[in-house]
Amino acid sequence: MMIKTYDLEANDFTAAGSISSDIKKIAKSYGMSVEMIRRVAVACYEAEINMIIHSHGGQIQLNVDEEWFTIVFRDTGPGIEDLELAMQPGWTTASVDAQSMGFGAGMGLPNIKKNVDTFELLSSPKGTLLRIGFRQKGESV
Amino acid sequence: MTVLELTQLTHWTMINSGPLEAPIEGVYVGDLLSYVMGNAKPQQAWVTMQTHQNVIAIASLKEFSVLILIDGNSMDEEALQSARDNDISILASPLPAYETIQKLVQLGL
Ligand SMILES: Nc1ncnc2c1ncn2[C@@H]1O[C@H](COP(=O)(O)OP(=O)(O)O)[C@@H](O)[C@H]1O
Ligand SMILES: [Mg+2]
Repeated sequence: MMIKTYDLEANDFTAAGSISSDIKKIAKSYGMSVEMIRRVAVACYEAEINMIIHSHGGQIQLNVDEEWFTIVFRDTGPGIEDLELAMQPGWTTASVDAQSMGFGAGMGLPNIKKNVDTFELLSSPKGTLLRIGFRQKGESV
Repeated sequence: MTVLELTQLTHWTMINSGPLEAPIEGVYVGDLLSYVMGNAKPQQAWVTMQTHQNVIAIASLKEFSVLILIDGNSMDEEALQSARDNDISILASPLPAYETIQKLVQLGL
């Protein structure tokens, strides 16, 4: 069992992706399949970017046990008003600035969902919690 | 084709060199980062007009063989530093998107 926690600041574009890179390295060190490592990288990057461009910041926690590689993204708001809408491909509230940098295609949450084995998204104005899991054994999902 | 071969064939400026023997397995074109994340494949060449630092994080996470900037674009110093840290090859094509891609097609990519 291994746990690692990262702090993430809102709007810190320069560092964006560095936590995902670290998690990807850890996934490699656990001998995950190449295909699964790639899914981890895509899902983590999208979730990390969402915290940076849409939230007030928060924490990312990685939990690894024998069966599961789980990552929890927890921020301190402002939350997602309509989860169903947020999950729709193409729907975004990203600023024009963020969009001009190529963020805000509205494909992040759909990308995450497509790449994980388990997906749990909870939100209130106090914060958003996204928990994604990758099954390390019997990786046929 | 390797990154080195592509560089020699195009004469495009290599503004950062990563693994030059990396094979290029096709090309992905895109400026919307989630489309790149969701659809591009490892070892591809990624052609984009985005030049900010986060592009390097994506190139690294997606394991692209080379990043190709268009229209003579370059990158700022932070992005270049990040490219050096992450060992990402970057080619700067002086051509617009269409002509850049045309060239890649001519070369058999
Ligand atoms: N952590 C978050 N906090 C607040 N809102 C979020 C968060 N993650 C996603 N959202 C909302 O869900 C929408 C869709 O997210 P996503 O599919 O990743 O697309 P994009 O990030 O390109 O807008 C976002 O535009 C935003 O309104
Ligand atoms: Mg997003």
